[in-house]
Amino acid sequence: MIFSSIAVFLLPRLAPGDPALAIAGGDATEEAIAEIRETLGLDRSLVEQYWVWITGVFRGDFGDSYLYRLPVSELISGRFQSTIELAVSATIFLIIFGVGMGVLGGTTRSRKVKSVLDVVVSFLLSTPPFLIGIVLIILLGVVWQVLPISGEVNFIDDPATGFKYLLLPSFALSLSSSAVVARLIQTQMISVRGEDFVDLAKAKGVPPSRIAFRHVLRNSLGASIVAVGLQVGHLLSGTIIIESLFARNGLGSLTINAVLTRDYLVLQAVVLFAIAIAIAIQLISEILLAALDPRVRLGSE
Amino acid sequence: MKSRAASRYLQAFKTPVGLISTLSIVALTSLAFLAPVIFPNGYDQQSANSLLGPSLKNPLGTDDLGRDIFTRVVYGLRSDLTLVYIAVPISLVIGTFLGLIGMISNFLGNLSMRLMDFIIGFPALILAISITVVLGTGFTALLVSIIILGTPGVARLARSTMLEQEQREYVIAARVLGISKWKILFRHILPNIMDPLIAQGAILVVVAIFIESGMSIIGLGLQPPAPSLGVLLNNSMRFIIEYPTFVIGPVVALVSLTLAFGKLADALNATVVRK
Amino acid sequence: MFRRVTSTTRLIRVLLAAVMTVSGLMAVQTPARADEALVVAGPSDPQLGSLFAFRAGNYPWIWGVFEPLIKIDEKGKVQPNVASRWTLSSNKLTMTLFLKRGITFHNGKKLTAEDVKYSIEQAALATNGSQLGFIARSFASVDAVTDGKLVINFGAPTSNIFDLLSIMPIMPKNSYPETKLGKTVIGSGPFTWESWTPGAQVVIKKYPKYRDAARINLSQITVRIITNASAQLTALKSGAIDLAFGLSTVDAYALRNDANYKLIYAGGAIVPLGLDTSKAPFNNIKVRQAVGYAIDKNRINKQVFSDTGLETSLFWAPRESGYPKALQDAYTYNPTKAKALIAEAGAAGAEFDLQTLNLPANAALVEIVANNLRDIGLKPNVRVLDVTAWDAKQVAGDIANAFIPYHGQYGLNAATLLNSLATLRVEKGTTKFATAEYVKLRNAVAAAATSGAKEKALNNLSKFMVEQAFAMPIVMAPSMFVHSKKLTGVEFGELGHTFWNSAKLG
Repeated sequence: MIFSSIAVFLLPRLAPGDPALAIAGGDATEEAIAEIRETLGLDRSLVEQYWVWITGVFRGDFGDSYLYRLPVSELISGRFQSTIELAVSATIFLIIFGVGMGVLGGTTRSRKVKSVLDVVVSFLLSTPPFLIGIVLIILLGVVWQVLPISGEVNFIDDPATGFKYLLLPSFALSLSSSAVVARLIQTQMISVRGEDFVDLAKAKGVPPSRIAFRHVLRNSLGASIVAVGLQVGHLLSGTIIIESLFARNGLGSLTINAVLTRDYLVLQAVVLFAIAIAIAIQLISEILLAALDPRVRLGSE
Repeated sequence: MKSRAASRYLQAFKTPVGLISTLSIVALTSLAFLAPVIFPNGYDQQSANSLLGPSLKNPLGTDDLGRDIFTRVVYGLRSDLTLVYIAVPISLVIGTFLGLIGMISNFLGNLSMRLMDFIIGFPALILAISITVVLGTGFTALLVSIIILGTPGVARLARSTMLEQEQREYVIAARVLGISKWKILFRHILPNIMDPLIAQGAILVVVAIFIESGMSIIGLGLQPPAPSLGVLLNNSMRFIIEYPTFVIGPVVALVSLTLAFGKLADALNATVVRK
Repeated sequence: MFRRVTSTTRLIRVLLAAVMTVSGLMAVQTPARADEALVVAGPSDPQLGSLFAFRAGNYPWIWGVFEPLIKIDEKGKVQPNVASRWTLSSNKLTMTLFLKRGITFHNGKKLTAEDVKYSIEQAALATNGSQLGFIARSFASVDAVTDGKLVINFGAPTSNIFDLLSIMPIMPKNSYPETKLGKTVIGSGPFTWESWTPGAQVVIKKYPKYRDAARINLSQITVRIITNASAQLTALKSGAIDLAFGLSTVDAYALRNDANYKLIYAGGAIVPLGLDTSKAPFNNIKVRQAVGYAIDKNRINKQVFSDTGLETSLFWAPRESGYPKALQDAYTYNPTKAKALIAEAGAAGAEFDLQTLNLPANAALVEIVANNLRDIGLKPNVRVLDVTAWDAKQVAGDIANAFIPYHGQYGLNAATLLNSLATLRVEKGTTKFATAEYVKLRNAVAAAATSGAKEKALNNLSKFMVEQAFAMPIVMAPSMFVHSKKLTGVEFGELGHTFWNSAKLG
């Protein structure tokens, strides 16, 4: 974490230009830029700037955006809702599609359905979310104009329209992850199906649908929860490009903009935030895995 | 040993999936590298006829500067494959080196793993964007981004395979016999980790293409005038409503490329690695 | 195989049908908005630290909250605003401004000459980043004589004074530090600053005590921040907004014949090709002129700007007084002549860097320019830099052998442009062109006191610049704004700022 904080502090500062330029613009004079640099404290030494920043972070103060002169925390919380809307709806679709396709693949006897599913899943697996997004834009936004392809409407202000704007980006974001989940559930279900207690149930004359749902699915659920958890991490990192593609004004676009305008403090905060979330997701899924599977004990590595 | 390995790979290529994906890769690669022969006039033949629909002369239409889109897609494929065929082997070599270095020195091994953890922990796209801004957009920045983002996966794979092989009897026996660490590494361990690494290489290709096209979508891809599939994709998205046919070429090329390499990885994993 | 495909398509159809049903259920009309509450789309967040500079994020709201001293109308004529009238001494060195009576700021305080003086001082501060700050810095003195009377003593005749006065917001004395931090944003305009949610929206509300309040129709303006051009288009078409501030040229132009929308041109950008005259191959005047003839401006205008731009060889707007119309087409596309000039200079095959910044128009334009230059036997290496990296080089006055900047200052006075554009500057200018002759001709334009003198000076300078060919405009690209037919009475300032005083939703 400390390494990351140093890296994210130094990396953007290696790039040509600084926030003073983004403020004054390219037609400004060098003297004006130098003065702005001074008022922003950018003329101080890197060690000093880092110290000021990192001690602030420990107090919960991430500093002010150079460009907007607003507290970074305020900027981030302003964009947070948009990204959370996207991530939550994508997670819901991830669960619906992933578990749906996985269970279908794990239970169906029909070869036709299986092979269609196989084609769909492997197509989704090797296609990045933004490419799926573009295909969706072409199909549902251009050829058949049923859904808006760019922009957003605040979900809380206007849930119906907000949801409409959310559909395409969250489909795009969730589909390839849901293929991973589907494949995992399918293999898990097939292997559970081969275990003794299933044979026993069959011998006892339990109907096949009951076997599938009561016995097989239940015993495959642990793996799928962990798989979903891991994929949620992927979803979050995928939001940057998806937001850019669908013109959503969330944390992703804030981040890209911060890099391009060298708004160092915003970028630093976003990266720390992203790392913290990644660690949290990893911890949660490890704990879940431990709770679900008695064979895995915490700290028994 | 060699003939056995060859026959195992042959087996992978004999499965329908392996065969189709290999053939597609060969076809796409030869198309890309024969581009200057097929289209000797190059990719920058501008004209006043911009944004035309598909026709016999321009099977995919023309772009905003009046260039033939089909030609540009083929040259774009060439840029992507050039990038990938340079970046992926480099990641494989560096990753393998960093993964296996633990065998020579425990300290270096741990150090390199910490470094890999650090890269993995860092948000990938932000890292790529920052690298690009530091180095300036273009081929080098993409190359460095792909190598840095691709290496940790290889290193972890190499290390875990190495740790597993180290417990094998033949390695322990070789050690007891006093054979040098380097010799064990090259004679025994390296050949055994080649298979999973080659499969990982195919996956890395997909990742590299993701990075190239993803960076282009946010406007940080290759420099003009050379097109890449991502640059074409980004460009065509600007005209998505008025001229939706523009986007078809780059999308089809990208999907077939990633599908072919993704499926090849599957086929290799299924037949070669498992054995 | 065939069966497989059909079942896949069937599956896709089922999926699509499901999506259709869901979206059909969702197809609720956008809710009706409160009467006379306008929603527009702005291209980026406000930049309160740059109120004196040109920032597109401030354009939609700044003249709602603040007011300038004077306005320049579409024809380039100066109109009174906060200043009711002004006089210029016969030696052109002293300007006296008389302020309208009864103007109050939103905090209730009276607007006085002291506040105007403070605002001029703020515009002069380098840290406030005004592109026109050099005009304010050139003043010998500014005196608030009475509450309603202000006297400016120029150091030298300042013909571009109105450029500054028309873009400078008047704010209460000592208020700017607070405004920069977004704590209080106080002006004297018809609307008060209500709220700003970064990344989402700015809301301004009608100021009930505005001197002309009875004639202000809108009760509230919400500026929704939509950075992406195609998202603005979607929002406009769905009726969520009534005015788009940041559409792409292609999209805006596509709406020109749509009866539901109105397309407005205001302000715009100067997109020139600059050449570094200190290095080969462009230290040779013949090569520079060849470049002028090599560029296919017509195709650039068509393919990059949907034929909305002005193909010109001059930096000035045609409405500029004394505009040398005869020189407008000094350089037209003539590759044969260009090749001959290159051969004469012996520069065939010369290799050099051609750089531009990463804006959609420039990135497309540079490809055409590079193609044109290759056609005449030069070898440009193209690089597109990210905007901040570009700005760093431009400010340092050293970009590359050849470069294509983007100056969003189309329509400003020639005397202003000569100082505010890095491409034309003498000190740290990016073309490094600073001969004594050039300096002399520039100064003559700035010092021209009568319209006759101005015409002569501008003609001489333009002729010289065309001949020397160190910086050649390619296209003047207008900014395009599209609003719904429901909205009427919006006034656009010369740079694309909006005045809402007479705007109405019908």
